[in-house]
Amino acid sequence: MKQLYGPAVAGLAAAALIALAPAGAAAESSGRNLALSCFSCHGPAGKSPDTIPGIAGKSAAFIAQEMIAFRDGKRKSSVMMRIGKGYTDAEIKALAGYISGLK
Amino acid sequence: MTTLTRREFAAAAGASAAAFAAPAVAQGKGGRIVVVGGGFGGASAAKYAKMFGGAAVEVTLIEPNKTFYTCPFSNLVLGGLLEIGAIGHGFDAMRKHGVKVVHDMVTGVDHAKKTVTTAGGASIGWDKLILSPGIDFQWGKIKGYDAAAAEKIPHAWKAGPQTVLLRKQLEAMEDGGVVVLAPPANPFRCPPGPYERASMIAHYLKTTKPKSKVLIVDSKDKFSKMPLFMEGWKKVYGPMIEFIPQKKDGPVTEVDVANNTVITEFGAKHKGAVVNLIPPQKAGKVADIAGVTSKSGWAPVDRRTFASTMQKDVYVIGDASIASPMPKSGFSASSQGKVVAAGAVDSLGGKAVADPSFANTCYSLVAPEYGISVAKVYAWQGGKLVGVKGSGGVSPKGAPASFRAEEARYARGWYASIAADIWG
Repeated sequence: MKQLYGPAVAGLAAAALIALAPAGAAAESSGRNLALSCFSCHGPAGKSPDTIPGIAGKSAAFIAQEMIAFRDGKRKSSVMMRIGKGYTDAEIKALAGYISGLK
Repeated sequence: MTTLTRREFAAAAGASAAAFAAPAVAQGKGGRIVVVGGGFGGASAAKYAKMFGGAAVEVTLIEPNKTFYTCPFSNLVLGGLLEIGAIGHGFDAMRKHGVKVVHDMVTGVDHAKKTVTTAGGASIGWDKLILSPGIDFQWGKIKGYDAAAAEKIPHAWKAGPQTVLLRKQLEAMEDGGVVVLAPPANPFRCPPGPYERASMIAHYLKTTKPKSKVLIVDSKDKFSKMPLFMEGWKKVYGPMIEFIPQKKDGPVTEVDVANNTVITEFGAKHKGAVVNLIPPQKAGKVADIAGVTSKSGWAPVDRRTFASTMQKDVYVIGDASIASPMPKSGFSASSQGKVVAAGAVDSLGGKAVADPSFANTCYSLVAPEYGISVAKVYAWQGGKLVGVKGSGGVSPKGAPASFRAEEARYARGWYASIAADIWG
């Protein structure tokens, strides 16, 4: 968990955030808060112990691409099609960046 | 089907340990976070507070029980798919992560001194207090139903000995018996839970006592995932499950314990060989002790941070909080626990608390290979916690068996994952 998210993501979520904290810190906690829900099904830090596919070790670009494909109905699934519709492009990039940065 | 064993849980716990090699936010000012309640909300909050806070933040989890039995999947125990041990979780992993675990009962909260006191005589100081007390029952709201009556007519709405008691009654019942299941009016813990329970009991009866039936005497007319349950029941159990809505007999108002009978407002009496009465609920007792409940019986919170609107530096998460539009589910509680832990740590460190993001996915088993779900993503928009428009919703009606089987498989995967995420 040494690097929380990649440089590509740093600017993305910042625009939506309050000016109280430095932009980097704010974006970091935004990506983190968005990603925390993922682990309830995909396992802690994205490492799944059972039947649900794990998301640990995937690149931010891959996670974002899959999430957008689910959201836009280009990839079928039982539940991710419904979950994906809850996030904007910027949010998907922020959470993907956070997850890909986990060890 | 594949059942989840203790060993598999242990393996799951091991898989997660690596994620906690280094804290995410170790620098800066720290403090003391005390979490009360070791269930889905509290255990998530404690583990993630330690993970985010690192050495600078001392985290104490207070939970009376050495093993926490989950309500999710307790219906599978009733259906004979799992043993009770498979849904019990200890706190050894929590200790390994650096959380101080105290098995004791909170008996007092002093907000001026910022301490909690326990039945065991301990006084524990906090800078931030996170309460996740779950539910308690409104004993007496249904005439004749109290804690003593629950030893004969179980509620089984807190998992553990009550689950085992109801399972034993089902096992002892003769073929041809009627199981009366009486769910409460809203709001209550786990909205689809009673209907998954009806399904799992019907599964057990169908496979072992096929002349028996399940009679649902409901105190409301509609329930979570209703069209999906109805479709599944018809398909899998035919006339074995009968549903009586509130508008027909009125809500359940009384129970005749000696005669194993529930009585409704309109005077209808439903006698069962086994009766499972799920009584009306309120926030767990600790919420009352801490002075964070309103007249509603539940705890009002600022839904951006889950800070109590009644006490400073206190958060209330999970079933006890008024978190609408989020449902009172284990997934919701865990989702809140993680985000609130992050916010509490950031706040201790003098950082701005980021807007929350939550999710909820509730799987229910209609049969061992027949799963259905409801999901939603929640966001802070326009000063309100809202379900994100267009997100989530229920599984499609009329889906093929392969779709139902995949959701049943994912239901089991979800349980293993969330258990590892929280207690692993």
